[in-house]
Amino acid sequence: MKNNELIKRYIYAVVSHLPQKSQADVERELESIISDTLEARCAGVEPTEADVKAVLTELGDPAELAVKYSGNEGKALLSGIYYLWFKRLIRIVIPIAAIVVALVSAIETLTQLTVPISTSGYISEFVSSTARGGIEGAFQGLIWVLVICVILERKNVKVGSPDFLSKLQAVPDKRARVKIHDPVLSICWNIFAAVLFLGFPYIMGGYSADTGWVSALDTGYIHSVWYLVVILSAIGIGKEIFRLYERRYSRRLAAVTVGANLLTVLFAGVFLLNPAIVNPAFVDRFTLIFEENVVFATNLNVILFGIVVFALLLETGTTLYRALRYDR
Amino acid sequence: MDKSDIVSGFLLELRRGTVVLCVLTMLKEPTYGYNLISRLSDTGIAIEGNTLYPLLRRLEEQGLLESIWNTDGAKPRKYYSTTAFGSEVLTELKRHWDTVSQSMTKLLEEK
Repeated sequence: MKNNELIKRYIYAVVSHLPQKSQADVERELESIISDTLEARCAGVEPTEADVKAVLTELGDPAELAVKYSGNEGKALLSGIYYLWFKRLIRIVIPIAAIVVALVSAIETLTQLTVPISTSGYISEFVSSTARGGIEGAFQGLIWVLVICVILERKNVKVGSPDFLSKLQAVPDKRARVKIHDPVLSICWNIFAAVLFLGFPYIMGGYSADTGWVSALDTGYIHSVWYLVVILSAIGIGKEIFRLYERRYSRRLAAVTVGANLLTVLFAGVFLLNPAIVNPAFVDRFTLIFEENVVFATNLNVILFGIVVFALLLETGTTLYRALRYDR
Repeated sequence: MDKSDIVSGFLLELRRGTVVLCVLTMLKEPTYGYNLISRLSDTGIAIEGNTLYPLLRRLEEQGLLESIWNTDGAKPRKYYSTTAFGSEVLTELKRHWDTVSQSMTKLLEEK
């Protein structure tokens, strides 16, 4: 590895822990400091890789240096690297917990309210229970992250290594960085879809004046293969957690995405392509309504599977393209 | 824990308590990070870069130091200097330091 690349990686590993506003200045300052130190050490001679390693080792573990730069040493409940972890984790966990609990509260309200749908009381109850769910979810998320980080600090759990230089990650092209909201929203969607299928499958359906609401999916079948929903959700969440960890479109991420999406197609096929998933009553009713488009009602499960495959192909294609383009 | 570890720990605490005093004093004239380490080292005060550089930023955030990027030379360097407020704090700290130092000298000589 070239000396400049090692220095770049080291500086990136430090500043990636810091707030956005101070990153550019700390980066410039560290470049200047490392350059001065190398100049003094080598006295006009071109620094070798060993010189660069010695200077960076003297500066210490990037995470620990970041803690010093952030001024978070000796905070009351959490300190040092644990406070940085806490700040990073709550940015991920709070939106997920808030969105998922708010959505689940919204569905629960929709299915349980006894107030007539046309009244203003219905809307206010719906909005307030959704907002309450969101706040409760966010609060729960905050508490759990805090408890976990406090336990890690009290147990003095370390993830750093004395040989931190060999583990420095390459600095990603700005366009190759995974934006944090993408995996966060995908995790929300995976949890929400699992809750929807397992808890409220009957809300996916159609309405007609003479039969009322008819569920499109067979609740009994879905409950009998609940483990497939859990597996699909776990694969999706696992893939997104890896994206959060990797934070860049790398070849490793592309391989994980391809693998996870192949598994998803397999399990989604087993789950959706079984004709038992479609509620026969829904088919009967909507075959009558869509006389000329019977295919829609009878092949609803195949259409759903097609949408899933299309979405996965799109994701696999963009991930592979970005990984091959930016991870060289 | 052996004696040298215990002594090292106490020495670290002693240095930590005096480093701000050193920095505010040295930065009466603008200096960049690496030069400050060398000058402190020349006066017998060894401080590691990973302690000093973040400290400079923190003191700047507290208004005790100010900085300016100098791009006139072969490479850009960030020069730090003590502000007027920093000098006031230094005067106050120095007064306390003199008192503590005299008391300690007296105490250590008596015992």
